[in-house]
Amino acid sequence: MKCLVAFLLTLFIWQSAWAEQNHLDTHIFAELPVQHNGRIKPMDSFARFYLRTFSGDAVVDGMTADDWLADLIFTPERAYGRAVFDVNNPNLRLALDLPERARHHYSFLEIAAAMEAHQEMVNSILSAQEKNVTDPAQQQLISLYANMTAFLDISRSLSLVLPVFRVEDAALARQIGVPAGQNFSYLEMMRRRAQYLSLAQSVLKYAGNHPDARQVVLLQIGAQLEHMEADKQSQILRIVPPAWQPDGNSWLSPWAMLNTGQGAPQSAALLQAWTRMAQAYQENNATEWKYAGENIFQQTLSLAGGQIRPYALSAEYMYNHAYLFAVSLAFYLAAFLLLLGARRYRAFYYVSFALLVCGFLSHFVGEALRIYIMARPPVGTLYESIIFVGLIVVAGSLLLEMRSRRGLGLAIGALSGFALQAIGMGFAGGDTMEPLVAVLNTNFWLATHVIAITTGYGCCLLTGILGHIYLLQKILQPLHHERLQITSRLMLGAALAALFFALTGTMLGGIWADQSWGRFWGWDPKENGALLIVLWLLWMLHGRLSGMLRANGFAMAAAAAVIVVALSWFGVNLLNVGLHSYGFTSGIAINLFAFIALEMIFITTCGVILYRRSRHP
Amino acid sequence: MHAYRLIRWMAEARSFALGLLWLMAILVLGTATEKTQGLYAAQRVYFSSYIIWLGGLIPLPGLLTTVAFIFTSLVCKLALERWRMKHLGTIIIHIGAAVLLLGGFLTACFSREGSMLIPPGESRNYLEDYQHVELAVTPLGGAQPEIIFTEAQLNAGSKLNNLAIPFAIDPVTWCRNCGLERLPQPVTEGNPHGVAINFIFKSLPHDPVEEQNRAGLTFRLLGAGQSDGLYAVFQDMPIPEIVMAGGKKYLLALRPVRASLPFAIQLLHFQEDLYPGTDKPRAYQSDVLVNDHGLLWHSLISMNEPLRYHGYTFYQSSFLQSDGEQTATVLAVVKNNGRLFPYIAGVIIAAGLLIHLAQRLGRRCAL
Repeated sequence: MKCLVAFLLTLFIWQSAWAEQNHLDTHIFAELPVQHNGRIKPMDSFARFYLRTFSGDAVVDGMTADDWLADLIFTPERAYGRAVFDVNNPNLRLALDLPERARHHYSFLEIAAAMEAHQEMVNSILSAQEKNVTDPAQQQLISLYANMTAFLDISRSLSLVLPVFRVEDAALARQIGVPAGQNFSYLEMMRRRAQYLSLAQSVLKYAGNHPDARQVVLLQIGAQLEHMEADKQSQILRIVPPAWQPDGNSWLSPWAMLNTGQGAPQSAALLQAWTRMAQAYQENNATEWKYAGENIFQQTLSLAGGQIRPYALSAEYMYNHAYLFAVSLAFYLAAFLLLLGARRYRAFYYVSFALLVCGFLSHFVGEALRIYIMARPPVGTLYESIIFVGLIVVAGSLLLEMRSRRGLGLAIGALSGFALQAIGMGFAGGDTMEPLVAVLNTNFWLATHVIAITTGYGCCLLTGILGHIYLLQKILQPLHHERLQITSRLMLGAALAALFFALTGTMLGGIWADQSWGRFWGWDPKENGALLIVLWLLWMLHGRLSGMLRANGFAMAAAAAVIVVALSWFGVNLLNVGLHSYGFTSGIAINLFAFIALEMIFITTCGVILYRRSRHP
Repeated sequence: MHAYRLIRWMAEARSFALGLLWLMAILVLGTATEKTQGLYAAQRVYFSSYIIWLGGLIPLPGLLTTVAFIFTSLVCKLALERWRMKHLGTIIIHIGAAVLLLGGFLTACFSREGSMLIPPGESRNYLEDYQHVELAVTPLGGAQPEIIFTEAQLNAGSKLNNLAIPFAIDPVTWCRNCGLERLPQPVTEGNPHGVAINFIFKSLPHDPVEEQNRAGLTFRLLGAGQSDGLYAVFQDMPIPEIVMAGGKKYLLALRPVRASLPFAIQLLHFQEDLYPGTDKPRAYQSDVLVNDHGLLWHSLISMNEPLRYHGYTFYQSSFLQSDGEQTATVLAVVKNNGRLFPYIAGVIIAAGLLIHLAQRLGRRCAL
C-alpha cells in the first residue's frame, strides 16, 4: 500500500510541479499536518472544510482552498478584503443592506461593516435562544456570525510570528533591542518586553499633548500590542503537537501554546520555522518557502512522536485532489450513454464495458484510499454506506455481465453506480472522515457485521433492479422467452446472494450486540430493518418454492425488495431512536416517501397489466 | 387423519410464507410504534405478546404466537422430510433456524434485565427496573427489612397495611408520569406535610423514553398519631420524606423496582475520553470492583467490553453528570440463560450453507 501511495504521489508531484511553475508550491503547505475535529489531517483538508463552510464553493476568486488558507494565515490583511462569505438568503442581504451581486459573496470587511451598522438588530438575534430563532434568514445570520468568528480566529493563528512591528529610528531600535528599519514579530517584541516597558515608562512620562516622533512610535507599539490581546483567543488552527501534556494528544494553536506556557525548545523551533514560511510567502521566495515547509513537516513529525502517519497525510492530499468518486460518476454516465448506441455499433459495447471497469477501478481506489487514511474498515457512517453499496452493486453487475454478455449488467451497473454516487455526493457534507462515536469505534465488528450488512443491501438492490427489468421485459416483449429466463435466473442468484449476506450480517450484528451489551436481540429499529430484509427474501424464496409466487409474482416481490432496502437503510434513521441513530438525517423523509410511493405505483401497474394479459391473452 | 393433514399443511413452504408475511407486518407496525410510544410499549404490545388487541377489540396473533407458528411449521417440515443426501444442506439450515427460534423463545421467557446507577466510590447490590416503580418504607436505625408496596397496589387505590409498620397508607392520587404544580396558596386542610403543602401532581402523558417518566403519589397516612395527614412523594425527590411513628423514623420513597444481585459492585473510577480538541466521546470506561461475599474481583467495563460475572452481563450504558463532573456511571445489566443458542444456531446454519453450496457446486461439476 505504501509503495502504491508513494508511486501515485510521485506522479502527482511531478504533474503539479509542472503545472505550477513560477509560483509558490502550495503542495508543500497543503500537506502539513493539523489537528482538527479530533483527528490529524493535512492542511489541505482543513482548508477545504473551511472554504466550503464559508463560501459553499471549492474555489473562490480563482484560488484553491490551499491558496486561500495560506493567504489567510500569512497575509490576513489582504484576506479580509476577499469576498469568501456566501450570503445566499435574499432577506438577509436586504436586512444587512448588502449590495446585490451575481454570486452573493462578500468579504469579511464588508459584512463586519454591515453588522456594525445594524448592531442592535444583529445583537438581538445573536443573544436570543437558538430554538426561538426559526426564520431561515435569521438562522443564516447566526451561522454567518459563527463563520466570521471562525474566520477571524484562523486569520490570527500565526499573528504572533508575523512581522507586523517596525521601528525606523535606529537609536530607539537599539534601545529596545530590535533591528532598525526591519519588520519584526509579536514574539520578538515580547522578548524585548522589559526593555520596551521601562523605556516607554520613562519616555512617556514626559509626553504632553504633542508627543514627539519617538513617543509616537512607542505609543503605536503599545496600541498594537493591546490590539493583539484579542488574538490570544485564536485556537482553531492546532499545528503544534504538545511537548508535554497529561492526556498527551491534544494539539495546540500557536497562541494557545504561548498562553498556557506549554512551549518547549522544540516547539519554539517549530514556530521559528513557521515564521520563515510566513516570510517566504510574503516575499514570494520559492526556495525559502520549500525549505521552511519541509522543516516544519520534519519538526512536527518528531514532536508528535508517532501520532502522525506521513503517508496517510499524502494519501489524503491525493484523495482530496483526485476526486475519484466524481471521476467514477463520470465514467458510469459515459458507460451508460455509450451502451445506448451499442445495438447499432458493437464496438460501443466494448468501450462501454471498458468505461464501466474504469469507473469501478476509480471507485475502488477511492475506497482503498479511505481505508488507508482512516485506518479502519470503509463503512462507519451513512455516507460511507452509500458509497460502499454503490461499489458492491457495480461489482455485482460486472459479474452479471460476465455471465450474460448482453449489456444487461452494464446497464444496471452504470445506472445504479451513477445514481448511488450522485446520492452519496448529496450526503457528503463537511469532513467525511470524521472519527466515529464511541460505540462504533471497533474495527473488528465494522469489518465483519457492517460490511456483510451493506453487501447485503447491495445484493438486495441488485435483485430489485433485476425485478424491475424482468417486469419491463415481460410487458414490452413477452415472447422473448430466452431473455426472460436469463433475467429470471440472474434475479434468483442475486436474491440468494442477498439472503446470504443479509443473514450473515444480521447474525453477526446479534453476536456483536451479545458480546457488547449482553443481549442478542433488542428490537432496535435498525435490527428490525435488517430482519425485515432477511424475512422478505425468505418469503420470496419460499413463496416461489411453494408456488404461492409464480414468475410474475416473484419478479414483483423482487422489485419490491428495493422498497424494503430503502426502509431499512434510510427509513429507520428517520425514527431517530435506538442504537443506530448515528445516521439521523431529517431532510430525506420526503424523498424517501416519494420514492416508495413511485415504486409502489410502478409495481402495482406492472402487476395489473400482467394479470389482465394473463386473463385475456 | 385430520391431524396428519394439518401437519402436512403446516410443513408446506406456503404456511411458512404466510407466517412470515404476518411477522413482517408486526415488525413494521412495532417499529413504527417505537417512535411514537417508545421501545417498551412496542415490546409489550407487539414483540413480547401472544395476542395483539387491535383497537382494544379485535384479537390478532402477537409476535410470540407467530414465531410459535413458524417454529411448528419448521418442526413439521423437518418431521415429514424425506431425508435425502441431496437435501442435506437445506435440512441442516432449517434445523439451525429452529434452534435459533427456540433460543429466542427461551430468552423472551427467562431473561432478566435492569440497570445500575453507581456513584464513584459507592457500592450497589441490586438492579433497577426500567419500567416499574415501587413504594419502599425503610425503617431508619436498626436492621429491620424494608416494606415494599408494588405499583399494582398503589394503582388499585385501596388502603395499604403491613404488620411490620405501625401505620397505614391510603393512596389519594397516583400518576405514572407527573408534573409538579405549585399551588397559589398552601393547602391547609387535612394536615399536609412536605411537598403536599405547596404542590399538587398533574398527570402527564406517558413519555416514550421510559426513564423520563416520573411517578408521583399523594396519600393519607393513618394510625401514626401526630404524623397523620396528607403526604406527597415522587421519584428522585431531592429531600426524602421521613415519617415519625411509634417512636421510630421511617423513610418513604418512590423508586424503580429493585431486584437483588447475589454480589455487590463498587465503582472505583469513571472515565470519559474525548477525541482530542472536541466534545465527541471516544470511549467511556468504569473501573469496578466486584464483591462476591468476600471474594474481590477487579474489572474494567468499557464500550463493547462488558463485564460478565455469574451469568450476568454488565455493560457501559451511559453516565450522569452535573456541572461537568461525572456523578454516577450507569450500567445496563442482563441475565440471559438462552445466550448460547444463537451461537449454536449460527454454527449449524453456516455448516448447512457450506454443505449446500458444496453440493450444488459438486452437481454442477458433475454435469
